[in-house]
Amino acid sequence: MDTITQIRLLETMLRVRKAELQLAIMYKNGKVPCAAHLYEGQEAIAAGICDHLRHDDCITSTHRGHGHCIAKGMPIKKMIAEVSAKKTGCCGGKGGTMHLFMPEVGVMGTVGIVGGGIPIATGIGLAMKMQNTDRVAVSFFGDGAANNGSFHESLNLAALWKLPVIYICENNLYATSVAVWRSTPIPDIGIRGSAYGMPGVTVDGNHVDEVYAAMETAVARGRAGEGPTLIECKTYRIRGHFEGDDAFYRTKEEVAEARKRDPIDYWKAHLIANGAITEETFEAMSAKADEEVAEAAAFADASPYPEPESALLLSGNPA
Amino acid sequence: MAQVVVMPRMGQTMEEGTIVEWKKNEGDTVTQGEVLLTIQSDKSELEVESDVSGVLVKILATPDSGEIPCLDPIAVIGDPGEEVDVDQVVSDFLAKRG
Repeated sequence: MDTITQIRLLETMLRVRKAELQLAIMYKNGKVPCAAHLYEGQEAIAAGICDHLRHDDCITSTHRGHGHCIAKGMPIKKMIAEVSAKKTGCCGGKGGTMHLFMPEVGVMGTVGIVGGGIPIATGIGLAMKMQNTDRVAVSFFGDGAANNGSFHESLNLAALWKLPVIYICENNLYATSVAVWRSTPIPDIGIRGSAYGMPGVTVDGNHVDEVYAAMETAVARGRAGEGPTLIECKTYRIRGHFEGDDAFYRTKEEVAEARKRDPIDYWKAHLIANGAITEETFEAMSAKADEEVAEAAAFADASPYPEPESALLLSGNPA
Repeated sequence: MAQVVVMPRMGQTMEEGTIVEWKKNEGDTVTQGEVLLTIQSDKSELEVESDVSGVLVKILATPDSGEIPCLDPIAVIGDPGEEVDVDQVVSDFLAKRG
């Protein structure tokens, strides 16, 4: 991986992290009128996967999808404005966090229904194949979704028809309040790829270099028409399932232990060690991301809500 | 610049909360992300972290205050060494909130 890519990955992770922490503050202060499921601690996955995607590739995402949208190219201000239910958001303020769409950058929806984005990405992959393109579709989902019927049906069809779809299972160890070991009898969800006749790999989702390398192979395979890949990225959901979740089902010690494996700390240390950046460069990158996020929050704050008379219009932003 | 801390809205059905315990005292230095206090929402007891770093200048509400509407001021945090006119900061906040 070249130095520019290494730095770009760090930049993406920082932008995602800062945006999520900003939303946490906005939520507490009554500026987010819907639930907020934040992505802190999982940034390496969105960054490492989406870095391989072109503008015309597509993703589907989940209730925990802000990071995927940012990494795929949605401007942070369009995301924060949407989550704040403002007219200037990517869906005119009517979608909110669990319906973030921006087809022009390939964000084909964050889907609130668990496992709901998997068949959508599979259908997009089918369309891409039928149109004889070398585009790929990516579906992000969690460990809980990997036990849904939509997962099985989609992976089976995608392998049968050699669709250019990459399935990214972000195993953050919790499906809402259910620990993965309570619901899933195998240690690695990645091995399920073999059940469908597709490559299935498991990587450390907190190590962006591992995620990036696995995706490199999967994207090449997809673009070459060789079919889908399942990538399981092991990570940890640092925050509660939603903001305001008291997380009674796990200990504070467990969370503190997981924080020691922070993906940004890991990558920062790696880049400083190999000379790609210095502590000063990191601080400058961090400040730049802070500035972008503060501007996005101010933009959302200053934006109006959609007018009541636009209620029946699709986006609230008539052309 | 001094900032108001509000009773957070930690759920779509939460209209008010009660203060369980302040973990910081007036005059204490606080850092962003540090636990300021615990509250009881309509559903559970939650820790409230500080949004900013600074000094906890004034505590406006305590466990004895009973149920406090969400987004009402409960404290003021200022910069280290800052002279803070608490009444002014709170009234500016309330005027801006509308």
